[in-house]
Amino acid sequence: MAPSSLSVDTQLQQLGEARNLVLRDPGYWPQVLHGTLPIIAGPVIEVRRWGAGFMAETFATPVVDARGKQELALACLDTMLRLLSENESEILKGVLQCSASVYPIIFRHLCSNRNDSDTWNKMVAIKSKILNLWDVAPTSVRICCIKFVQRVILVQSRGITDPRLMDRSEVNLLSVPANHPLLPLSSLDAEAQGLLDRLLSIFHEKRSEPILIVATLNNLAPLVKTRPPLAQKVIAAVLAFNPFAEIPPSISVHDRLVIISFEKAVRALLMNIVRNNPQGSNIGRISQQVARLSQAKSEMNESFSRKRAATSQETEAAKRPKMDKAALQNTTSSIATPSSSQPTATPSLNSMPQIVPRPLTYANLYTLATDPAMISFDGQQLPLDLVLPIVIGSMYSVDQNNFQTAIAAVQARYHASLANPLQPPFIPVAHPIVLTAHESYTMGATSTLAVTIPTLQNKLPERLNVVKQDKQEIEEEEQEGHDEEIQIQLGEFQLPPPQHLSTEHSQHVSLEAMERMFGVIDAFETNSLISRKSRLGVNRLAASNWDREGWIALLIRMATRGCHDNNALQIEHGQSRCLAAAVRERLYNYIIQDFRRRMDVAVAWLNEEWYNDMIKNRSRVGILREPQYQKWMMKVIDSIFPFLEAKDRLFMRMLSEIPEIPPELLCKVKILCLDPDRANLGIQMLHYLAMFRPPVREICVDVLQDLWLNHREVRSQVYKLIQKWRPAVLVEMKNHAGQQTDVAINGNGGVVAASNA
Amino acid sequence: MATEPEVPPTTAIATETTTETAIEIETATETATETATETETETATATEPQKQPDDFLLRFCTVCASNQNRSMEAHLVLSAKYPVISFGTGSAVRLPGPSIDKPNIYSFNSTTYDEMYQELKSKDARLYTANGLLNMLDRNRHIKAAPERWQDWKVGVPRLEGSGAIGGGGGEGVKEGVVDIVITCEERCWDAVVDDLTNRNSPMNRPVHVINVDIKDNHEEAIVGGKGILELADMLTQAAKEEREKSDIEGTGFSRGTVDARVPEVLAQWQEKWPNLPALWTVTYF
Repeated sequence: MAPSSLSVDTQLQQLGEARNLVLRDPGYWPQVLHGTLPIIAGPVIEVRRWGAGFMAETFATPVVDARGKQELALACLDTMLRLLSENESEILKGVLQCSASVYPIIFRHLCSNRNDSDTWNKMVAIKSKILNLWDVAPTSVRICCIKFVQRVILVQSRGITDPRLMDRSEVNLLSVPANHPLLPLSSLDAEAQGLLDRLLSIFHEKRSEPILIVATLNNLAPLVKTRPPLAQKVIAAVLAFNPFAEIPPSISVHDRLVIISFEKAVRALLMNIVRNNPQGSNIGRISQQVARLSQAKSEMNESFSRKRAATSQETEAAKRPKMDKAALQNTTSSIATPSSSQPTATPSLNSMPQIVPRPLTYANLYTLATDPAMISFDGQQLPLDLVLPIVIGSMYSVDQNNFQTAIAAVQARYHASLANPLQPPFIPVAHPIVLTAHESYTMGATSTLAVTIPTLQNKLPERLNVVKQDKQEIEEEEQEGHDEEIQIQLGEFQLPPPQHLSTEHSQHVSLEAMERMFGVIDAFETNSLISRKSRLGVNRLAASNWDREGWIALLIRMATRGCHDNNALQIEHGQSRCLAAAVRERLYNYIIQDFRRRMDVAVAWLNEEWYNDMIKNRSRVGILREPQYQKWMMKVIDSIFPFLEAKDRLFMRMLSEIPEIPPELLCKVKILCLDPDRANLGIQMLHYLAMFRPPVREICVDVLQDLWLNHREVRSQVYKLIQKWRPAVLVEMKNHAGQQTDVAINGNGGVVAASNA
Repeated sequence: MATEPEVPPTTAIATETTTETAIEIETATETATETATETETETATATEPQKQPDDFLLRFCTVCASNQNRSMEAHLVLSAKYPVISFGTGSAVRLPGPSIDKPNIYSFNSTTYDEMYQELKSKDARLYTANGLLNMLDRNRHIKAAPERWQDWKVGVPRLEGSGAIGGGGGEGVKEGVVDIVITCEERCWDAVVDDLTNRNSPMNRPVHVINVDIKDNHEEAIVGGKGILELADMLTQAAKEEREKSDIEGTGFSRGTVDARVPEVLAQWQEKWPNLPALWTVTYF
């Protein structure tokens, strides 16, 4: 090949051509590599660089087959060892990639060549050099060390033993024949365990390089999937790793990027593991962790946007031009990339957006920003103690020229508005002013700041109370001095006292509000209250969230707990239409409109009624109060009763979930039992209640007994239950059997059997 | 699987301009090829030396769902300076059809951009001109022959003249069939790429950075995204050049670094400049 007397350029050119040749025709690869090995280890650094890369490529390329690679690997070990002493990280990177590919190849070679100690010693020397580099090398080399270590662990541990899943081409400890003189299983295994511990230790270390953590995470999937003995340890380490553990107090874009990348890497790894083995034993823990990660991520994003909004004015002002520009770029798809140099501000009075013709408001008058997002920003969202330092800071830092221009612009608008006080859409001012890009950002930034000036607020003229008073313009007003303030000083303003509401009116309004609340419920998806998030029952805080569950809880509480004073008052006055009654009536109607889907509401409501009745009875002894639970429960049951079907589980469910079952209800059930079509349902119901609600068991059995004695047509169905719960009746019956044989003759087998017994 | 969304007619103009640039770039790369082949030295990895530091180039791969809009726009833009290839991660190439439930579906790797172009043109030239599809396909057929599917990519198999793509980087393209940076244009593509690489078990043991740059799937956003990606490529290349000039990296006594360790930092800087293209990153292995 190229003799070393040639110039470096010529050598590199020749090497390049050689590489082109093997890329075109991989058949030449062994020949070219053998030819170049002597000069790769030579004195010319450029050639060594080339060689490291070429060797890495040789053992990586899929176009050279495994057997060819094995042959080449044996020839390359010396060169690799030599190149590992280099201190150029790019050479090391190449050799490390090469070593990671070569390690399994040499190991396989050793398995079938028991006595090739020479080769194995070289490989061990390479390994120990790399393990030393792992701690001291620059980051870019260490990510290759991590890969190498993963390969060593894979090779030196036990693979999958199931022959159906085994990958024959893979090398692991199972490939080592027994009693191998050079490859002692136990120490190789122990070394792999040690390396794995060292690899995983990065998750506990503080201040590791993010790239090393991510690289480690991305190396773990094969260990879990193909090395069952190691899987538990690896999964435990990953589950213990919290990507959000070290969120700094002020989170930068970089921190956030790194953290979400950690989170994604962990998630990708876990999902890959789950997909590979959906029946694995760790699935529960993994899916929990994935859910936790999602939650933590959304929390972080929330706090990130909050903190971003709260960063100091300087950084805001510095960043906003870029952001706005990018936003602008998106909306207009303008071609210019954001240039790194700031445009210099040349405030101009002529190039100006006049006020957008909207109803005249203070916000309109003072808003100079052109960015729609900026205009819609509500300064009142920021807490006062945050706003004050920002305002002071911005007043110090604002460019005097920009400031003057801005004041002039607002002044012009203001005068124009005074000139046409009755014309709501703003007349363009004589010299409409557009802020140049830079200026509008500066002003935009300051206009996001809000400050409260109580004196000024009190002086707002009544005429302007149509104006939606934004605090942001007050702040600008303050910036512009006090001359304007004096001009609009129009005397004390007090909110007029509210009109007195008549009882009827207030009731009318309350009912309307209630109707609206019912309207809201239907807008939500009807996921049943059974799957509710809050399991607190009567202890739930009604107005804690605004989903279907929340609204229903609120309505129910309005009926049961909300208006009790009102209730008493109304009764005194003899009016039945108090709000609570109205809500109850409405709830009742709401439920029976679609009782199958709204059974959950009914149960929740009736439970609350019962609870309320109990509380009332206890706390207001002596005050006459009509218990509500039974009344409404019977009403609900009465209205759904005709629609029950022969196998209505829903009804069973309802009866089992309401808090108290009075005898009247059981009479209803009895009627059900006598309906030939639905007798089964009724009897099952009684059976169920007798079994699972001991307090009503006796009443249920009474009903059953009554059925047994007085209603022949259902005897056959009742027989077993009577036998179970009240066998005494049967004995009694038997005693009477002789006298009343006619009962048995026309009866069914069960009765015959009973009477014969 | 989402199809490329319909695009309002106004975008036709924007894509038109890009197509023109495409042709310009083509001729530019041709001349570049002639001059560059003389001095071109080969690289096995991105971090390999070349004679002049200015020749040093990272290799890129752009990925979107259908290898039509976002990845191809970025492919075109990057190819002016860098070796680049592109892929799609979807199960098939999906283009908007006459209605939302009738997309045009083609297979990856086999149906060429030219065939799609001819077919859509004969189907309804007016519709597909108005929604910008014909322009897009016309641009694409001048870049490479057919959309390629990521999952079918045989990493490391040399891509010589046969691939027929504008590869950039002195006309040599990505001849070694492997890249340094993969840039996806949507999070689920990033997921697909990372998952696929994990399942491949990294036979090459070669580090690769996978970066997601979230771009909405329409022509305007693709153009903005392409510019963002180009700047990211410039910034990464700049960092790589700085690193390899170092004689002592981080006080470790090692010289001539590579860009790897700086990717997160560079990406964060880029993100500050391009806050509307949310980024995500990982380093994994081919």
